[in-house]
Amino acid sequence: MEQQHEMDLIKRILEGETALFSTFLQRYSRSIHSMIIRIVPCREDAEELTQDTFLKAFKKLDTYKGDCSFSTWLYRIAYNTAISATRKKRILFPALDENLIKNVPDDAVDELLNKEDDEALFIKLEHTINLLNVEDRALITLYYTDEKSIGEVASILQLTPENVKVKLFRVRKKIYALVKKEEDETR
Amino acid sequence: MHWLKKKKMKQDNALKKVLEAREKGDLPYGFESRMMNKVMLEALRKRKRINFLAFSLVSVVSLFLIVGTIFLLKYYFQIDLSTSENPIKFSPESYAIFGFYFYIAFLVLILLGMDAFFRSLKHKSEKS
Repeated sequence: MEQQHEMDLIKRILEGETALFSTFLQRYSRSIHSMIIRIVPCREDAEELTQDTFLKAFKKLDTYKGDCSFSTWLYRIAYNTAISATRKKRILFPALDENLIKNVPDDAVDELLNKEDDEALFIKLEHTINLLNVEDRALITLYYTDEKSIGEVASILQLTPENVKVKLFRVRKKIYALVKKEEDETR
Repeated sequence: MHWLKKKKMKQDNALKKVLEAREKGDLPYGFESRMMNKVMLEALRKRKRINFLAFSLVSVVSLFLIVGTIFLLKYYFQIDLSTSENPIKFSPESYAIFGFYFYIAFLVLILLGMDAFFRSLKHKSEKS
């Protein structure tokens, strides 16, 4: 129902009723901005990238075929815009030894990431998230914060659902390894 | 993935809590109206681009038709275009059916005009 209504709106916008685009702005600008600011933590950049996202969406509106929801399509544009902006800035993220990530026990990750009311851990996690590359940060933001399903995340990141699961699994281990590395360094 | 299978989805509470607490940041006041101005400008630019392309296309096609006609008259029918004398001779029978041709052309124009008129009426009623 919602998608049909949005398809009708798009059709009318393409036929010249440009003012109707404000409906999409009112509906999605906050959620798109909030996703971008979580992966590009600079207010000015996030605002600019939100603008770029909507302008690109308007320019490419005729390419939206309705094979996914409009919000997924918009999130995909936002994600690609944010990724290419960070690539242009050449931000370097610390690399981790692949073997170190592979050897992390699954149960230890489960235990660490499910601890409640551990302020010290929250601070470490906050620091660790900042060390993740933009792709990983976007992945966990979409999955945990924006409450997107695996299918939707896969559609936004243009990956297969299986690939998303593998990546999420790997990012959790990476977070664990980075937290442990920080703990070792502070000892 | 065992953690997705064995546990309820969307757990990892500590991670979720930290991600939710991260900067949310509100959009500045007037963002939507400023954005709409940009969108309107883009729409205007897009319309101008389309008009320019259509005009260019019509010009190129017209030029091609004119050049083609001249070429055909000069080299295929071997008509000397520099003389003012009309080289095409019509028989009296041909003159007789000219009226009919004009009548058909007039009917076609009327039908095309009606088609355009009813289409615009339908388009307007759909919009409202």
